[in-house]
Amino acid sequence: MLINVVVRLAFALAVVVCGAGVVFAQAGPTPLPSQFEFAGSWAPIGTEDVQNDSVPVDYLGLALTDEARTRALSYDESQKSLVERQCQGWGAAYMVLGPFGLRISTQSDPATNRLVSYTIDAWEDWNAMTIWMDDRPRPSEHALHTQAGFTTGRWEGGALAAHTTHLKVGFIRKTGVPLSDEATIDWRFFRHGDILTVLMVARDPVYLVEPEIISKSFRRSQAPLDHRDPCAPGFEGHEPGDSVPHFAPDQNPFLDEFIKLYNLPREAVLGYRETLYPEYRKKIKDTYTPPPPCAADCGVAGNFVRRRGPTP
Amino acid sequence: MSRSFVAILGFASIVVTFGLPPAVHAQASARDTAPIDLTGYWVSYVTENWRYRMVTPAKGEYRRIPSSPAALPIINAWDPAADQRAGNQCKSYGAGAIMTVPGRLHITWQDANTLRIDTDAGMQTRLVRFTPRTAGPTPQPSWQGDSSARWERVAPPDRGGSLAVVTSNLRAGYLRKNGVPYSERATVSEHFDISPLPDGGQLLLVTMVVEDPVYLNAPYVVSPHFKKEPDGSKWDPTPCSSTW
Amino acid sequence: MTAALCVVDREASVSASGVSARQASATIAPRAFDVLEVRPNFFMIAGAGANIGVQVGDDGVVVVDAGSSANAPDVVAAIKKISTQPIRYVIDTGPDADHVGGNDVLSKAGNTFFPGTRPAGVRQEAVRSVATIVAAEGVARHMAASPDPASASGSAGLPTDPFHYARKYLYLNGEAIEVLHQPAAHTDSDVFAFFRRSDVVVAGDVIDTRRFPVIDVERGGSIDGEIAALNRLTDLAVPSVPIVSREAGTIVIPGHGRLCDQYDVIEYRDMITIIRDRVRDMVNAGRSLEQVKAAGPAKGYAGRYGNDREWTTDTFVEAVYRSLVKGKS
Repeated sequence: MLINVVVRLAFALAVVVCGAGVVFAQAGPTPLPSQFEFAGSWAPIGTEDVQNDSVPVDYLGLALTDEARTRALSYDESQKSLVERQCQGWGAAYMVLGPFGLRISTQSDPATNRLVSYTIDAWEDWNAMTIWMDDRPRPSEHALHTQAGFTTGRWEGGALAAHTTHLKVGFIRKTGVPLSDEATIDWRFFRHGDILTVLMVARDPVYLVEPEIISKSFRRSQAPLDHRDPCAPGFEGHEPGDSVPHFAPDQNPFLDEFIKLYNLPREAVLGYRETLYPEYRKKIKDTYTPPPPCAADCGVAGNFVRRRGPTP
Repeated sequence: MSRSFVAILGFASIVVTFGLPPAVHAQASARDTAPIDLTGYWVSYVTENWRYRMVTPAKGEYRRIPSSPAALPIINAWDPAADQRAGNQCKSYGAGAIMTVPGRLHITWQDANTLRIDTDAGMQTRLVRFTPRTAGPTPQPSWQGDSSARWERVAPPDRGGSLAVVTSNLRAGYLRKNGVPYSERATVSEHFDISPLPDGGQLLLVTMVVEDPVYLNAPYVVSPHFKKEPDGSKWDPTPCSSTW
Repeated sequence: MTAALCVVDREASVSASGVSARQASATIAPRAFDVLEVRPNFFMIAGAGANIGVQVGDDGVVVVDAGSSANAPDVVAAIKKISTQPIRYVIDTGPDADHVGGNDVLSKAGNTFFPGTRPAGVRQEAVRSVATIVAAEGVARHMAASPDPASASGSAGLPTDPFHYARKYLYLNGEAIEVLHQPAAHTDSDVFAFFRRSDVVVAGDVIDTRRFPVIDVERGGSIDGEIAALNRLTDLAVPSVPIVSREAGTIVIPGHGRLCDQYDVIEYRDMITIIRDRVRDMVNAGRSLEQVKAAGPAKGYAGRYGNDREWTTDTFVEAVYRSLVKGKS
C-alpha cells in the first residue's frame, strides 16, 4: 500500500537526517584538551629579554619602590664572590629571567594514577620547582622559605595556572634588583603547537609599585634537556665575615653606564613606573636622541642563550 | 493509521529535537561562539625589550632577532628620512611589529565574523576574519596584510580558549623601528590569550611568531602583553613616524 | 585557657617544598600555636612568645626557650602532645621575658637527671626534681633586674645551671648539643643551642625575621657583636652543596618569625652589616644621631624590617649609633 511506502520512506528519511546531523555536528575544528601535554623538554627561544644585557644599573621595564631602587643601587656584584653566596642560585622568577630551558615531569599517585604534581627540573643555578596539583594546603607562615617557593596549580581554560608563595629573598633582576620574601608569583602556562609560553606576574609589596609581568616562550625539544650541575664554593678573595661589598646608593660607579651607552632616560633606567606606559613616549619624544650606530655586539651572536646538549 | 501517525510523529519529534544538520542552517557566528572576550581597550605594559620598543634603538643593532645575512645590508642602510619621503613612515607599524609598538588597542566586532583591532599608535586597523573572503581579486599587500582567524576552544565542560590568527600578504616592513626588515613573504602567526591579574584586572598576551624565508633564518618569537582599561579615555591616535 | 594546638603529622617535612604538610587541629581555642616538625625528632613551637625549640627522644625532652609566662601551661600541654617523656632541660637563649617567662612552669613540669635539683633559691622545700634551666650567666642577673613582672617572679624560673664560659655541651637523644655563648650581641648573655645530628641551631633573638635585630645596649648588646654572632651562625649552618638544587641544609630557628637556613642568615647578616657600615661612616665623619637618622641609613631594608611597632627603624638606627659611639669611647 502507498501509506506503507510513505511510512517506510519517512523512517528512512528520519534515519538519514539524524545521521547527517550527527556527522555534521562532529565536523569542524577539534576542541582543545582542557589539559595540554606539559611534560617534556622545552628549549628557550631567546628572542626576548634574557637578562637585560646584565649591565649593573639597568632597571628598564620595572616599577620599583624607592626602597628597591636604593637597595639595588647599593648592590655590588662582588657579593657573588663571597664563599657563602657562590652556590646560592636564583629564585623561582629566574624561570623566565634566566637563559635555560625546562624539563618537566609528572608525578602521579601510584594507586589511583591521579596527578599529584609537575616538577620543573633544576638548572645549575636554579632549584627545581614542584607544582602541586592535588589541592594540598599551603605551609605555615613559619615554614622555611625556599628558592623555588611553594607552588600549587590547577588547569583553567586550557592553561595551567599556578601560584607561588614562601619565596626566599631574591632578585627580580640578577644585577641586584631585589625581590623580597613577601613576594608572590602567579603563573600561566600556555601551549600553542610546539610553543610553550610562560607568563609570570610577580607581586612584591616591599619592592614593586606594580607587578612585574614577564612572558617567555620555549619550543618543544625532542632531545631531553638536562643541565643540573653541582656547585662547590671556593675562595675568591673574600674570607667569610670579612665584609660585605656594597656601594653607598648615591655613589654607585655604574649609575650612568647604561644611560650613556644607549642615550636612555635616567628615570627609565632607574625603574620608575611611568616609564612602562605609552604616555612616556610622548613625554620624552622631543628630548630623546638615538644612540650612535651600533659598532659592536649588534646582532644575535652577542649576549645570547647558552645551550646545553643537542640543539633542539 | 496509528503506525503512520507514529512514524510521522516520530520523524517530526526527531527533527525538532536534533534540528536540521548545521549545513542546513547558517553557522553560529564567531562573535557568538567566542570562548574569550577580547573586546575593549588595552594598553601596552612595556616590561620587556624596553629599549627596542619605547625608544628608537641604534641603527645597525638587531640583537635577539635571528636576521639572515640578506637582512644585514638593509639593517645597515636604514634611512628614516628616505622612508618618510617615500611615504613609508608606517613601515614599522605593519603586522610583523604593530603589537610590539607601545600604544593602545581597541578591539571590537566589525561584524559577526570579523574582529577589528585598531591601534592608536600609527592609527592602524587590522581586520581579523573568521570566514574566508568572498570571491574577488586578491587584495594588494598592505601593512596589515590579510588575517584569518579561528577560535581554539577548550573542550566542554571546561571553558576558555585562544584566538589563533595567521597573517600574510604583507608589504615589506620593519620588525623594529631601526629598520630590521621582514619581507613581503613573511607570515605572522599569533595567539591571543587572556589571563586574570591578581588585582582583578585582565591581561592580554599575544604570542607572535614571525617567519620570513628572506630576512629571518629562524622564527622570531615575541610575546607583548596588554592590560585592560575600563574605557577609551586615554585613547590617543598618533600618526606613523619613521623616526619615533 | 587551653590553646589550640596545631600538631603536624610526624611524617611531614617542614620546608615549603616538603611533602604533605598537613596540620590537624587538636582542641578548640581562640589562639593557636603553630607547631612545626623541623626534623623527625625536633619541633618548633611558634606563637607562645619567642619561638621554642623542642628536641624529643628516649632520654627525655630538651626545650630551648620557654616562651612567655602566660602561655607556659599551654606550651607544656603542646610538648606533652609531642612527647610523653619528661622535660629534662630548658635552655634559655637570652634574658627576655618572652624567652624565659615560662621557665618556672616548664621546669616544674619536668624532671631532671639530677635528683635533688631544686628550683633556684628555694632550699627549704622538700626535695623535688625539676628540669634544669641552662643559660648564660647574665640571664639570671638581667631577670632579677627586669622591671617586667612577667620576666621572673622572685627567684622562680631563674637558671639552675648558669655558665660563664664560651661553650657548654650535653649529649642526649643520640646527639651532641652545644650551648654557645655569643658575647655582646643582642645582649651580653645570648647563646645558640646547636643540635648536631638534627642539624638545627636555635639562635634566639640574634636573628628575628620580622624586624631588625634588637640591640639592647643597656644590657650589653652591640652591633659589632651582633654581626659577629651572625657570622658565627653562618659558619655553624651548612647549605646544600654541592647538590644545590636540593632545598636542604642546616635549619636555624630564629627568636621570632619563620624557619631559616644559612642563606636566610646571610641575607640578614649582610643587611645588618651594610647598615652598620653606613652608620659607622657617618659616626666617623662626626655626624650627630639626628643627622644619621635623617640620612636614612636603613633605606632599602626599612620597608621590610622597620614596621614593628616597638622596634622601629629609628630605634634600631639609634641603637646602632649608640653602640658604635660607645665602642669608640
